[in-house]
Amino acid sequence: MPSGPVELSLNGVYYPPWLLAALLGLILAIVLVALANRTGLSRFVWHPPLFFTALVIACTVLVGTTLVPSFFG
Amino acid sequence: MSNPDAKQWILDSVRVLVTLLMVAIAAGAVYWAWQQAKSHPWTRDAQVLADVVHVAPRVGGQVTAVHVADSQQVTKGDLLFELDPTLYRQALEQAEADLALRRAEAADAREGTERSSGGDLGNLDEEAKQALATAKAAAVVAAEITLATARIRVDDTRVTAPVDGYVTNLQLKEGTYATAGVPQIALVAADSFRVEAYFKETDLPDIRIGDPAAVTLMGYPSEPLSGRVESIAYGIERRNPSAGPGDLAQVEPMFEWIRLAQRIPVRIRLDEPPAGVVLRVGYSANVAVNPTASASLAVATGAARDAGPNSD
Repeated sequence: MPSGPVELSLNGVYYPPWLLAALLGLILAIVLVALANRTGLSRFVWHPPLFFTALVIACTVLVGTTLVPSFFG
Repeated sequence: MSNPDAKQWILDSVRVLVTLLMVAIAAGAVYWAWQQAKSHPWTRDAQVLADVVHVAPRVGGQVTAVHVADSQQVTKGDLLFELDPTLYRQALEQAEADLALRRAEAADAREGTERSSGGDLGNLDEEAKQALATAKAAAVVAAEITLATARIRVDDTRVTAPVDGYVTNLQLKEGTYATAGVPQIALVAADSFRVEAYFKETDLPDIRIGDPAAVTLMGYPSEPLSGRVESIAYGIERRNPSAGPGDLAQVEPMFEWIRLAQRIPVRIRLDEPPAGVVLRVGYSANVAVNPTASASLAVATGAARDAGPNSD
């Protein structure tokens, strides 16, 4: 069933779906990085800020396609 | 040379590779998302529209009765309002009297020709009488037409709905003088509801006539409507107009690097809306053409909410 396009609204203020996806992606990335730091996987990262930025973007797209409505429409 | 150095070199390579891989994944994801967004255009700039039929009386007169209330649903042929028919009734009676007079005259003229054909009066006189009879017969036809017109005028004082629809913004009151041809009531045609989506010109290459569309109304975010692209407009108002036909264009000399894609109306014909959704002209809508079939959170929760009352 095709889903209809939706805007997200907070008390009458409408904002784009990708903003929610970016927020969730950021949270997911922070959690993943915390896990990596604890398990010691962070040793295999060469440039942490670059890696983190890329991780946030990838997590945003992942969350956007799976969870957030109307990420593409 | 030494073993720790080689190990360190391998570790460094792995670290660089892992980081670059992550960057590549992110770049690929962004590219994929961009392509997806391009092939599934959607806009928040859309609204529900319908045709409005302006009902005007065909004759003038004072309004004596209004038979509809504001926002009332009417079907084709329903009486909307009545005008004072007195003058038109009198015209009808006059036309009837005139027809009777013409018929009597015609009968008299016909008898005259019959009588003279029996006698031996001059042929010249007979021709004149024949012409008179023809003229009188034609006068009868003219009077019949006048009578028919007068009858239609009387009927026209009762103004009926020309289409199925909804009376909208009724401002007609008894006592108003309604002039012939001036609209008094606006009817929103019931079968003409549609959604007009204003897509950016950059989206239009991915939109074709007949493409499926999903429409969400601002008032019913959990009940998406389905429809199809019916037409794509061939033009919008020019930005550099000429003062008049035959004049030269007035071209704005300013042209910025920041410029916005123009928006073109795309008309969506809706399938039957689900029960509980009432369409009204002017509703805000979101429209997606070629919508993704992804099971998103909103549809899942919407479906759960829809299923809730049914299972109760």
